[in-house]
Amino acid sequence: MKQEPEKPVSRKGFFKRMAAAAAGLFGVSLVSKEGRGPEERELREADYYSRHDLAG
Amino acid sequence: MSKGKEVVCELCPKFCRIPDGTAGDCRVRVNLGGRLRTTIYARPSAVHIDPIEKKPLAHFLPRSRTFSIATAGCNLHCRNCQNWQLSQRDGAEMEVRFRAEPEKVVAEALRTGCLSIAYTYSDPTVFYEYTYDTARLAAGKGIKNILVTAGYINRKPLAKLCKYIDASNTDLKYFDDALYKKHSDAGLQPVLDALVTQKEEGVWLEVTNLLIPTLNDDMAMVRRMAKWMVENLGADTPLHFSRFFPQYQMRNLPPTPEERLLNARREAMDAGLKYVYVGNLHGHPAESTICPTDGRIVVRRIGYHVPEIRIKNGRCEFCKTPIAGRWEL
Repeated sequence: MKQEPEKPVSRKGFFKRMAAAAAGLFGVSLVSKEGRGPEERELREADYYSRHDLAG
Repeated sequence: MSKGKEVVCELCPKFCRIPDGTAGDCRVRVNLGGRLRTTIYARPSAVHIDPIEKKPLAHFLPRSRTFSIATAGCNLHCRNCQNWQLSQRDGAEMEVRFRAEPEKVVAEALRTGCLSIAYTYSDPTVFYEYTYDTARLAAGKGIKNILVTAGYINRKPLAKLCKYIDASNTDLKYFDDALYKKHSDAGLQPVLDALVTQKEEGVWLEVTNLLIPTLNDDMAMVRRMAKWMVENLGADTPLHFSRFFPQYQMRNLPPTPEERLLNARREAMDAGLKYVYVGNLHGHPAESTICPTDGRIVVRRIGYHVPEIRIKNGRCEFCKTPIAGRWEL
């Protein structure tokens, strides 16, 4: 499984390494890396939940 | 916490009550303004091509490769988790997080010649929507779908997902509810129910039991588990006894002795299971599939390598006994 790099790396170097790793594995870059977290508006609504009104 | 903004996640048996602005126990399903959202949809942190034998699946398209994806998060918290860097984090904590919409995953699986997509490593339960959308798309393109899961999911969402799932390796970690609670923050009965649901829905099912010294290697427990499997899943259901290695928060126990694994295998076969394997014991003969009638090896395995398959049209080449499984597309 994919592990985190053990040492902190520069973002630029990290992007390059990830691109190279993906290219090596799949021939071309499979997917692009994104930032830390998506904007809230982009988050997909989950299935299977219900509203719950608190008592009192 | 404001009234009316709390939600209850009904995906897994934990039924987390999630106040606005916080996440459920899995870390990746969050309540934002009274709507539950998944933070890891189409954002896997692990993308690999694996031999299907690694899942492990012994009776499903042997020698094929499976396109394997996982996101951060898990609804279990096993003290011995081997992928804890992935499973015990939320998406934002991951240094590696790709963007891969279902269309991209399916396209790459096709391009790389994989016969299946495996939803694995952490647990597809917590990336349910991503798994569902990808599996539905893949099924339409002739790609098989595989769950590798702890099976801690409610019946309704599981049954819906199973329409697009071809095979599953589901963990049966402990045949004991107290052990499930203590070591995985889960429970036994929902897992048993999930196993039965998958069987009923026509998913090819294999079961893995990680045999941990002093915790679940009691042979009476192994017997009870195997007997339950025979009665509820059928004697043809493969069972994998996997060797434990100390890691994460369970470093105080030794690796499972080989003899213990083989004892468990013997107990399970005595209880009536036809196909019982040992895992993490590289090169052992018990990795291979043996015809239950004539005792000859019909699928020879050495780790993930499969040098010999003697099954034709789903039957032992030697004595023509049917060997349960999905051997060809």
